[in-house]
Amino acid sequence: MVGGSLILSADLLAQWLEKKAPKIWWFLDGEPEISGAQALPAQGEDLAAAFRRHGGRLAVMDEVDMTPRGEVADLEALDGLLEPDDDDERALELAWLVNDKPGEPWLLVESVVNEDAKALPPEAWRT
Amino acid sequence: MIPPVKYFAGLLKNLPSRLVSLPAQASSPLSHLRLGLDEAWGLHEYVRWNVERKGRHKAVAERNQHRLRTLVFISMVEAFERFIKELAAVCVDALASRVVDDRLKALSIDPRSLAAHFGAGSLGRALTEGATWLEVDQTNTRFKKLLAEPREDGRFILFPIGKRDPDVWRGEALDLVFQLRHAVVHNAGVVTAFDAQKLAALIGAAAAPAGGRLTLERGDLWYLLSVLRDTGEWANERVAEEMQKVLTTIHKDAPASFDAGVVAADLAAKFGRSITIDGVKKP
Repeated sequence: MVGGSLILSADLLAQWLEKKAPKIWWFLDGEPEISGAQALPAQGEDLAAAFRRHGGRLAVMDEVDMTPRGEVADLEALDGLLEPDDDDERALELAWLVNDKPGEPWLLVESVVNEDAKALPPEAWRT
Repeated sequence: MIPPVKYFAGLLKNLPSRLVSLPAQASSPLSHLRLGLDEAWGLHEYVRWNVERKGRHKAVAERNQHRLRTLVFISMVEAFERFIKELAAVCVDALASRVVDDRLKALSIDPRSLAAHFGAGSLGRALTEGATWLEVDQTNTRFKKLLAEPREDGRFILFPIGKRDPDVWRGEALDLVFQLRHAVVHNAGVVTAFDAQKLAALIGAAAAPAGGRLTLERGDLWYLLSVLRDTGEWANERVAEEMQKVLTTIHKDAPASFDAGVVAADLAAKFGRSITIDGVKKP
């Protein structure tokens, strides 16, 4: 437990991205480790693989209620944190835990390119 | 009432001391590029996200976003130029003391820059920083000479120019964005008749519009980000492969001239991948 904040495993986040938003484009704003190797914005399924490879644990930084609540237990609990609010774009402020202490916070955010990607013609997706 | 403007001018003297430490990624050209691109993109993404969620003052918001896109465009192109420059510096540092030919003539030598960098211990930075690296032909010429096998003129072409080469699009895309950058930086974004003539040639059109200000649309920065990042990774691989070959030739000629393991380890850290010199692989 880190100062009462909620803890999330990279593996559970990977599962959520893979199952709940595999084709959604995401951006990691200020994330220092995964973004070195993973081109961003990236689709949920690709980001899931990157989080799984990295492993480790994350602190959820933008919780208003800081009472100790332990680990995010399952995908449904993560749904609650990542469900769209009134602006329809999901975001979660996180920080990697190093020696049980959160590092610099960064943002997992549904990317603005989701709309740009829809505007691309079919030939853009042919490899 | 505001203080005399001269007072503000005095405060501007504080600007040169407003520095933060370079991030760890700066030690590797490719990591530095990725960081620069992601930071520029993050600015655009964050502002656009927050502006759109508010949904207010739509016309003003859109106008300001157009301006922001232009600034982000410049940041991305400059991150790529810095990457190419840093890549060249790595080559110079690894080769300069191990060859006796005139390959460094490919770089313009500015005595003041050389003197300023003398204490930093990087001849590569001294020789690359003073020059611009915003022309594909010129960049090709420099790398060809830098990465030539000993006693040869060089055959390596970083950005292929042959129309049938599957990667020819990379250099073409770079030439286009370099030319657009020129219009933004030197003419406040206005595409002059001269720019338009060059741009028409670069996109293979009979003519391109002139006299207007460059206005990037949604999506344009995403395309640029993808092209620059992918081309950076691709160029990093090509230069690393060529460096291995050249250093292997040098080491075979004179095995006692340097420790292949030490040099390979240093280059592996800088290129962010394994490097093999004369059979010695690091990391």
